[in-house]
Amino acid sequence: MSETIASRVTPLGRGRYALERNGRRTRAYAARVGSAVWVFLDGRVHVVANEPEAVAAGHADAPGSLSAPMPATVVAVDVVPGQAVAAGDTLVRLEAMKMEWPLAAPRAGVVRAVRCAIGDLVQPGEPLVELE
Amino acid sequence: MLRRVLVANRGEIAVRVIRACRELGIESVAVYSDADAGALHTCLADRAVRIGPAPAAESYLSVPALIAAAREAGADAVHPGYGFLSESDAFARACLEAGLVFIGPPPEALAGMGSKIAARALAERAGVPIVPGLTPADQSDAALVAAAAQVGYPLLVKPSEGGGGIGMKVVREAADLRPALTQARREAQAAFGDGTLYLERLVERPRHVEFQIIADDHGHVVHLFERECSIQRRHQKVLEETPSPALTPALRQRMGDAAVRLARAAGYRNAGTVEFLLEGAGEDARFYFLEMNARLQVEHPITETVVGVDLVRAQLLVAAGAPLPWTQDELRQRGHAIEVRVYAEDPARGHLPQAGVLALYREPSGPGIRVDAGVVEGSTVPVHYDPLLAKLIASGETREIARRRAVAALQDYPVLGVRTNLAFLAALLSHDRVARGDVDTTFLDEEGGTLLEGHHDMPPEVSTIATLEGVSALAGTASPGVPDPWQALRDVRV
Amino acid sequence: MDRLPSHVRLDSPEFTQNRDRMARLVDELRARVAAARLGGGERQLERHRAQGKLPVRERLDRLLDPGSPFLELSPLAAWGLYDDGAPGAGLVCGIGRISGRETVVVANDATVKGGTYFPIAVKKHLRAQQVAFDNRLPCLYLVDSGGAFLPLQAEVFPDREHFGRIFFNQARMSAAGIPQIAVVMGSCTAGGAYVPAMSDETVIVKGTGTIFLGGPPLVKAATGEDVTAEELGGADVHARISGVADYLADDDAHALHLARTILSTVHTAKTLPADRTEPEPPAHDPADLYGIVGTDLRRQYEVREVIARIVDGSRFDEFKRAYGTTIVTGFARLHGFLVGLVANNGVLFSESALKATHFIELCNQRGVPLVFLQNVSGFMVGRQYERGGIAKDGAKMVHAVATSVVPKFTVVIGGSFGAGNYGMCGRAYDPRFLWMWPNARISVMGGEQAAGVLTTVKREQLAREGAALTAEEEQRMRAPLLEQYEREGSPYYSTARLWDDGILDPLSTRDALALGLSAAYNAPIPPPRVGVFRM
Repeated sequence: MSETIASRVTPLGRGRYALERNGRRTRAYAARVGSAVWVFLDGRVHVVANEPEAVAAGHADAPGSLSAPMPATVVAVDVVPGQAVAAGDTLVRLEAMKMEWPLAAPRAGVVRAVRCAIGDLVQPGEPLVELE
Repeated sequence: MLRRVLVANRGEIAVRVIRACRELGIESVAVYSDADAGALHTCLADRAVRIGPAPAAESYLSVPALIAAAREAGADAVHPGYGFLSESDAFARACLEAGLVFIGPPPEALAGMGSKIAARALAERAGVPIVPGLTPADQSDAALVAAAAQVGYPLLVKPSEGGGGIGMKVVREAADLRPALTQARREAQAAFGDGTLYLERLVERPRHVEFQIIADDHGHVVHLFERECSIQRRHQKVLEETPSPALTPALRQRMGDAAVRLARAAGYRNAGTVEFLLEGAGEDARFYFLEMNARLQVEHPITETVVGVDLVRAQLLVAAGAPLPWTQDELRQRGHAIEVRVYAEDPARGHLPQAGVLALYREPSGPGIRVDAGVVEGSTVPVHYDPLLAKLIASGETREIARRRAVAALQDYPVLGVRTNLAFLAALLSHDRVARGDVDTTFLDEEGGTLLEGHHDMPPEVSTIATLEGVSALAGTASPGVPDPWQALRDVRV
Repeated sequence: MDRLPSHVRLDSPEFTQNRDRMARLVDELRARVAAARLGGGERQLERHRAQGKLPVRERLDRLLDPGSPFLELSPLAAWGLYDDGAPGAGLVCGIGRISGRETVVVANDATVKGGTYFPIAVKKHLRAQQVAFDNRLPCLYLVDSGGAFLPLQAEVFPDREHFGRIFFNQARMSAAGIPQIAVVMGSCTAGGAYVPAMSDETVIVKGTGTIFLGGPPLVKAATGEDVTAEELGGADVHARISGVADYLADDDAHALHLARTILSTVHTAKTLPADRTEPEPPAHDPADLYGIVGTDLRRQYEVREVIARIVDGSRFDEFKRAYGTTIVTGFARLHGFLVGLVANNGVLFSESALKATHFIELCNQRGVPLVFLQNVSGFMVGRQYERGGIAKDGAKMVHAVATSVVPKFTVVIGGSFGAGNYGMCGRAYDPRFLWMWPNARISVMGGEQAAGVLTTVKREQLAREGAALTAEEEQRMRAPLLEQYEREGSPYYSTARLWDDGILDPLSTRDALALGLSAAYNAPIPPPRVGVFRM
């Protein structure tokens, strides 16, 4: 025999909710605060964060290494191995299609390795800098 | 009668005074710092004057700014509330010199009560018992050691000036005295600019019981019975109630008489509170004068509830020169009242003060429930000031009724966007010892940890509600009230 | 929606330099707009006032609801053209609120060459009508014009998009239920006479307003008849005798009051979406835009930093974030309106084009307006990419944009080059509004690339003839070409010719988009329908 918990939530507007659990009714309240939702239920406040890690961490998705997005020429390397960088720091500058493309650190870290040099023609996906 | 009162305070007490003024037909003038431009008290008063930037030292603690505001607004009186400059004799004097009525005691009484030494001397003269203690004129270590032997152990080493527990040391035996002296002297010097120390017998597990008094210009002094404030965290009261479960009628009468004697001896005017330490219970209990608070107290509403009076109204009347509206014989206690202080703080992180916007704030209501708040939904809680949001006062015929009402109200008090101690307060009121009334000033130190919210599994409905609320915010539940940009963007020329 | 983070270094030298450069461009823009707003200058203005007429800007102030925004269209039209003799092309056009209704106003500035129509003035007038048509907004014409600018008649009169189109549009809009109202506040000669005559309702001002097909000089030449302008086509004649005008006004102020009354009787069917949220300013300071964007188009900047400074609360729900990363797509709120954003973050690849196509289709199916933030150097070139079918993937994006039925808005926030312009909803793709930032550049390709292509072609041609291109010759070819691309790529070159609806201070972008979005909701969104996507 499995036990089932019947509960039903009905929004009442302006952050109010009616809750029915196993036949017992109670009220709850909720409000968005930044990207989280705060919920008041049974005299307690619960904070439900919905900020995904990736967004909180930064723009880029690459976990450890930065690679060229397209065939390009390396025109500048702004970091050396062992250097500490902050999120947003420019690591390498590429040129392609007559445009300069700064590659920025997606997060703070220490440069483990630099895999390119000025003048290199690099291909998409080729790792250029690795972060610890 | 007073015509226009400047309220030199913020938050719930400013709101409380503004309300009392309105009921008496007196105009009110709020003052606000930049952080409070949109605060409830600023919006509620008949007038509002900006007094400076957010830091209190440049706004709510600035005597020149407040006097200038009173002049600018054409006020004829100043209500200082509690905290900030309420017990500053310099501020009271500045008000008088500016031709303003100071709604509180005369500057001399304030100065007299401000010094612990002077206050103790006064109590002794008035025949009010005091905790054995000495402030040797010779402040050398040797003289203090000798004085300590006279006072007896265990004892407290305290700075003669100041309060709030700063520089205070507990010494249980003679061997520990010298290091405590050195440290207390240094802290006192740093905090108050005066290293003079005072030695006092430590009263073990005392209760904190205080008496409300009020005096007029016509020689009348009455007391409005006691408040028990034993539940304190680092000398800050958290829960207050009246009557005290520890007093017998005879003891109450003796303590009340002592409080009135003291006020008379001090030449006191207006509302004030005489604090006592109570050791033991029943007819054997001994009480000692602790200090006098020369202002309206945070916890005054429980007295109002049980005695059935309006203390702020009485303050305004007395300040205007009218006689007290009641005699001692007319004053009676009826039922029981409990107050808890709702703070923007995180009990789980050492009660760290919190700031932010109250995204949702809904006060409880019902029979025997009173909420004195300085905020409404949408208010910003600034980082700059005491994080007291509101006071919840529950009352009923018996202590147990009042206590249960308080618990139920706290559980029906949603505050979202800023963390509060509401759940902590509910747990406190549900504690066995609190339910029995078996508390003393050490209670929170001993039991506070057990009141913290442990790790609770999040009920499954919480995420359902969070999802619904998140979606409705994204989808923007049909909002006809949202203005069209063609209305909202006034005078925009693109 | 998630709040976008910002990684901008506000204290970096690059930021400071960018900010200062952009601030100079914005100052220059403000100065040029201010100069254009002076119209024909002080002397002309005095003459104008002496006739008892209000200057065109004062007419607007009295016409619009107190506090109403005014979304002006192409204030720098004709900038640098006609020896700078026609500031604003002699016409003030824009959307404002009159009696609570968003209305397109087309107002002649008689201080500019008597309010006559230069070729660009015709284009500006037609553009204002297009805005009214697309968004179903009533049209109010404040007429004070001598008609076509005769010396340039060949560029004004005969073609499809010339003078005649104004009246064609009036008839078609009236037929479509879009009110056409004229206020005659000066002369209305020749073709100009058809503006009030073709309107649903017309007001004329006593003493200054005249309407006739041929003015006194033409009548004299044709028939020998001597007649004053007042006798020929004054307010009394038309209000009492001819019936060409419907309301008689004592003066300008009275006429504008009558116009407001007329607008108050116009039914509007504006339906704002039910799901609007409370507007919220961006969480990141829009003032940072100057320092983020800068003026060096060769530097790619992170477009999410721009989005974070335009949308409500800097919140952005990104679509296909990890795929085709050189274009950014996603949903955001702008003054409470849900919008789909398509923003360049680099050169377009096949994946970027496919992602954008998918997102544009998504917004069309859901009726969500689209905002394009254009900063595009074009589609990726090279063997690998041609073989990968970048042409057909680019075509899908262009097709999706072209068949899109939701309101579209384009802001050129950087480069607008090549087919990138098409895919990102350039002028030819009928965005409801298209604005440029002062740093923007627009041309078929960059000057460098064009010079490179031409010299390569030349070199190959000479090689076939057995000759070689000397460095000196190459330089001689390149220099004028670079100069030409530099001049013609300027946003002022563009805005002078009505390739856009105006140059925006980046800080005004949010407001301009909000007003445009709201105005767009005066028109219903038709059901989506697309053609054949090449797969």
